[in-house]
Amino acid sequence: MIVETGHFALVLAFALALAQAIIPFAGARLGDASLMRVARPVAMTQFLLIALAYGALTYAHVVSDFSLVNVIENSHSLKPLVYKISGVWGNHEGSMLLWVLVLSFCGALIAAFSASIPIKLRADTLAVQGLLGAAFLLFILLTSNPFARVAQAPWEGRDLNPILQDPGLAIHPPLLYLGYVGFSIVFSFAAAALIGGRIDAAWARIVRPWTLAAWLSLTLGIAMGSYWAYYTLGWGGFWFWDPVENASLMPWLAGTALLHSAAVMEKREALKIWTIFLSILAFSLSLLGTFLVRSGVLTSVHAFASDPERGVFILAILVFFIGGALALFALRAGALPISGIFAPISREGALVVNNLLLTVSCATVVVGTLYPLALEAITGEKISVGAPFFNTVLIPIALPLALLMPIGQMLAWKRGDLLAALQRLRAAFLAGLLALGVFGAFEGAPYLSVVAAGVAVYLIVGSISELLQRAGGRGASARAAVARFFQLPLSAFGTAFAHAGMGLTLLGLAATGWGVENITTMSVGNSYEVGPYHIVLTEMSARNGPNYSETYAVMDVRRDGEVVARIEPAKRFYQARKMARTEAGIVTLGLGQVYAALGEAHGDGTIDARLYYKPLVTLIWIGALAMALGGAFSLADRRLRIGVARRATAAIPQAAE
Amino acid sequence: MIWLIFALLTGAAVMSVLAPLAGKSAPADPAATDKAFFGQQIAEIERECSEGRLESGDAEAARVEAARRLLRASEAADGGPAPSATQTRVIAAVGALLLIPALALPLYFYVGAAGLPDMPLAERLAKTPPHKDLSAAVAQIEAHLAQHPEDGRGFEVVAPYYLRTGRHDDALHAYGEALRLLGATPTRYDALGEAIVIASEGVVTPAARRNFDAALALDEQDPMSRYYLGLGAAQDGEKAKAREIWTKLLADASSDAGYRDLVRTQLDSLEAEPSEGAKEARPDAAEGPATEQGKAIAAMPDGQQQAAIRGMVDRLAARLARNGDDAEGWLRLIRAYSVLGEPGKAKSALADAKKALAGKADDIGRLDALAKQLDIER
Repeated sequence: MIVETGHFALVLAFALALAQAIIPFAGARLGDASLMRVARPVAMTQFLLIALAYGALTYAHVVSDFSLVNVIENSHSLKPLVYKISGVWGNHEGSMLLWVLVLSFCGALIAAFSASIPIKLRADTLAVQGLLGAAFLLFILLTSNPFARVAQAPWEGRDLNPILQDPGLAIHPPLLYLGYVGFSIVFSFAAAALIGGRIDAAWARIVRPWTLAAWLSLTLGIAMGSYWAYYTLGWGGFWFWDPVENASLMPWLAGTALLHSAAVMEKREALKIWTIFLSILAFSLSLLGTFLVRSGVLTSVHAFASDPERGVFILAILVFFIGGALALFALRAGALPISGIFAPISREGALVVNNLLLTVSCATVVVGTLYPLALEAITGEKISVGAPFFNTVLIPIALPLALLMPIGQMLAWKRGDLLAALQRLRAAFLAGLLALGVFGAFEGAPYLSVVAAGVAVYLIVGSISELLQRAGGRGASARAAVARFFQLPLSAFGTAFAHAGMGLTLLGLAATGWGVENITTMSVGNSYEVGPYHIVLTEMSARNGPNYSETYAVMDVRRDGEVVARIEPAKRFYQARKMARTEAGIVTLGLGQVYAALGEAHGDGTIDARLYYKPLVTLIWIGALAMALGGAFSLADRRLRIGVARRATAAIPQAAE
Repeated sequence: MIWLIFALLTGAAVMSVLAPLAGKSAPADPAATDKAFFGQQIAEIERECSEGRLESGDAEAARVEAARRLLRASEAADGGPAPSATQTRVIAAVGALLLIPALALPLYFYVGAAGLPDMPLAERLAKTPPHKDLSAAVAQIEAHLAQHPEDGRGFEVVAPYYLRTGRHDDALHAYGEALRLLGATPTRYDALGEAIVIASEGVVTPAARRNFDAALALDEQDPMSRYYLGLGAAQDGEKAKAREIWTKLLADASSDAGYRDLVRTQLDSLEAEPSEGAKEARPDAAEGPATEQGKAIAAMPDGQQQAAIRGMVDRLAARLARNGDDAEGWLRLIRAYSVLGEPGKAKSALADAKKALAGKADDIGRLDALAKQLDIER
C-alpha cells in the first residue's frame, strides 16, 4: 500500500506540474493576480507529493520489497542499510526520481522565499519550472518507472553494481543533481525574464543565491566524483576526460562564467544579454549531460542505463527546452535595453576576459565530448578524444586565466589602474618565482609541472594578498588592520577563497607530474620502493563481508626504516553480480598519498600490485573544498552589491582614518 | 482503503490550486518589490559609507545611480496585475477540479498496480512455513549461511537445489564449501566432481577428474568416481582405458548394485560406435525403445541422467516443431523445461504450443492449468 501510494503521488505530481505550468502563466499574460498566486501552493504541494513518492521507493528498498523491478535489479537483502538507501539513486529510475525531487524542492524554495520577487516574474519562473517538472515526470512514468511491479516476487535481488556500493557514491549524485537542477532555476528565471521582458540589477540579485548554490553543489559533486573514481577504479587516476565527467564539467565552466557575469550585471547593469545567454547555456549543458549519461549513447562506467526509447524521449525534452529558450532569446534579446558601457581596464573588463576564456574552455570540452559521437554516428568510426587533446587546448587557456585572476581581483570597478594593480601583486609575483625556482631545483622535469606550480603559488598568494591589503593598507596599526579584516564583506572572502582554491587545485594537478609509479609482483615479507617510501607486504589473506568476499593484503609503509602507516588494499568479489572490484589502500602522508591497488593473485603466494606515490595530490580536492567554501561565503553574504567606482584603491584605507 | 488514500491525495492536490483562487485580494503595487530593492541598495550605500568603506563622493554617485534605476523601474511597471475577473477564476478552478483527476487517474490505471500489496521480504519469509515452498526455505538457509559462513551442513543441503535449478556456479561453490568445512570424504568429492560434469554439460573436465581422483585416493573401491573416470577416458577417445576401468568396475560390483545396467550399457555403446568422436561417446546418442531408454536413464548417476534427459527433450522439441498436433507432447516438453530449470524455454514452448493447438479449447485449458501449476508467467 505504501508503494502504490507513492506511485499514485508521482502521477498526481505530474498532473499538478502541468497545472503549475499553465495557470500562473495564463495569469501573468492576463494580468490576473489570483491565477499568478496559484504558483506558490502548487509548487509546494508538488514537492510534497514527489517527496512522498521518493519516500515510498526508499521504503521499498529498505525492506527489500522484491515485487518492484527496481528493487530486484538493484538491491539485495544482505546489502548494508546505507547502500540500500543510496541504492535508491544508484540506478537509472531512482536517480531520475531524485532529479525531479530536487527540481520540485527548488521550486518549493522559490515559492517559500519569494516575497521580494515581483509577482509576475515569480509566476513565470514557477511556470517554466512546472513545465520542466512535467516533462521529466512524464519521462519517468512512461519510460523509467521505478514503481514497476511484478506479481510473483523473487526471493532475492540482483544487488547493486559493486563499484557503486561506496560512501562516495552515496553523496556524489545528489550533489551533482543539486548543481544541475540549481541551474534549472536560473534557467527558469532567465526564461521568465525573457517572457516578461524585464531584466535588470534586481533580477541579478534574485538569481545570485541560486547560481551560487548550484555552482557550489556542482563543484563539490565533481570533486567527490573524481575522488571516488580515484579510489574505486584502482588505477590511481582521478579524471579521465570520460564524456560523463565532461558532462559535469561543461555546466560547471558555463556556471563559473555565469557567476562572474551576473556580478557585473548586478553591480553595473551591464552584460545583461550575455548573462541571460549564459543562464540558458548552463542548464542546457546540464540537460546535455543528462542526455549523454541517461540515454546510453555512451558506454562507460556511469552508463548504467541504456534504452533507445529513453534516449529519444530525453532528446525531445532537450530539443524542446533548449530550442524553446534559444528561440525566446533570439526573439527578445534584441529588444532588451543595452546599458553600461565600460572601460577595458576595469573590474568588469577583467570579468569579460574571464568570461571569454571560460567560454572557450567550455566550448573545447563540448567539442571534445561530442565530436567522437558525431564522427561515430556519421562514419561509424570509433575514436576517443582524451587527455592529449584536452591538455593541449586547455592548458594554454587555463594558465593565462590563472595569471589574470588576481589582477582582475585588484582592479576597481568602472575604471581601474593596471599598473597599481600589478604593483600590489609584487608579493605574489615574488612567491610565484620563488616557487618556480624551488620546484625546478628539487623536483625538476616535467617543466610544465614546474611552470604550473609557479603560477599556482602566485595565484594563491595573489588571491589572499588582496584581502590582506584591503585590511592592512599603508600605515594602519595592527589592531585597526585586524578589526578591518573582520569587517571585510563576506563576498570578498568568497572571492579570495574561491580563487585560492583554484590555485590549490592547480598546484595539486601540477604535482601529478612528479608522481612515482611502481607496477610489480609482490610477495610476503619483501620490500618495494615507491618514491621516498618503501612498502612491505606483511600479510595476505581472505575474509567475507556482508555481500562479498575479499582478498586483502596488509602493507607497511616505511620511510627511513620506520613504519609510518599501514594500508590494506583489497580485491572484493560480489557474489550476486559475480563482479570484482578493487579497494585501493590509501594513506595520506603530508599532502601527498601512497596508493596501492591489488591485481591478479598467483598460485605461488605472490600478487600483482600497482603502487603509487602521489605528492600533493590531496590539494586537488582540498582546492575544490576551498572553492566551495568561497561559494558558501558569497552565498552567506546577503548584502546587495553596488558597483562603485574606486578612484584609487589605496584611497580606501585612508578614508577610514 | 488505498482508494481512500488516493482520493485524499487528489483532494489535497486540487485544493492547492483552488485555495488561492478562492479569495479575491486586492492587487499589490507592481513596483513594490523594485522600490524595496533600490531602497535597500541606497541603505546599503549609506552603511558602507558610514563604515568607511566608501568615499562620500562615490557614495553620492552610487546613490544617484540607484535612484535613477528606481525611477526607471517604476515607469516600466505597466500598471501591474488587475483585480482578477471572477469569470477567469471560475474557469481556472473548474478546469483544475476536472482536469487534475481526469489526467491522474487514467495515467495511474495505465502504469500502476493498485491491487498489489507491499511485499517486504521479512514479512514474506515469516509468513511462509519452512519447507512448504522450497525456494523460500533456500532463501532462509542462504540468509543463515550469510551470517554463519562456516556452517558446512547448510551448504551441503542447498547444493543439490542449486544444481537442479541450474544455478551451477552457486552449486559448485556450495559443494566446494561443504567439502572444505565438513572434511573430505569420497562422497563429497564425487558430488563436487559430478556437479562440475553437469555444469560442463556432461563433459568430464580436468577439474572434475581431479575430484574423482581424490575420491579414489580415499577409497579405491568407490564406484562413482570409477564410473566417471571411465566416462572421461571414453570422451577423450581412450577406449581401451575406458573399457578396462568399466570392466573392472563391473567385476567388483555386487550383483544387486544399481549401476550395473548403466555400466553395461556404456560398455555396449563403447563397442557399438567404434568410429564416433569423443563427444558422441556420450550415452545420450544411444537410441532405443522409450521404456527401455527410460529405465536406463533412471539407473544412471545424475550427471549422465541430465545429459540423457536433455538429449530426449531436444528430440521431443524437434518433433513437435515439425508436427505440433500433440497436446501430450507439448505438456511433456513444458514440464521438462520447467524441471530442467529453464523457465525461458518453458515459456516460449508454452507460446508455441498455444499457436500449434489453437482452436482446441480443451488442450489450451490443460496448457493453462499446467502453466499455472508450474508457475510459468506469460
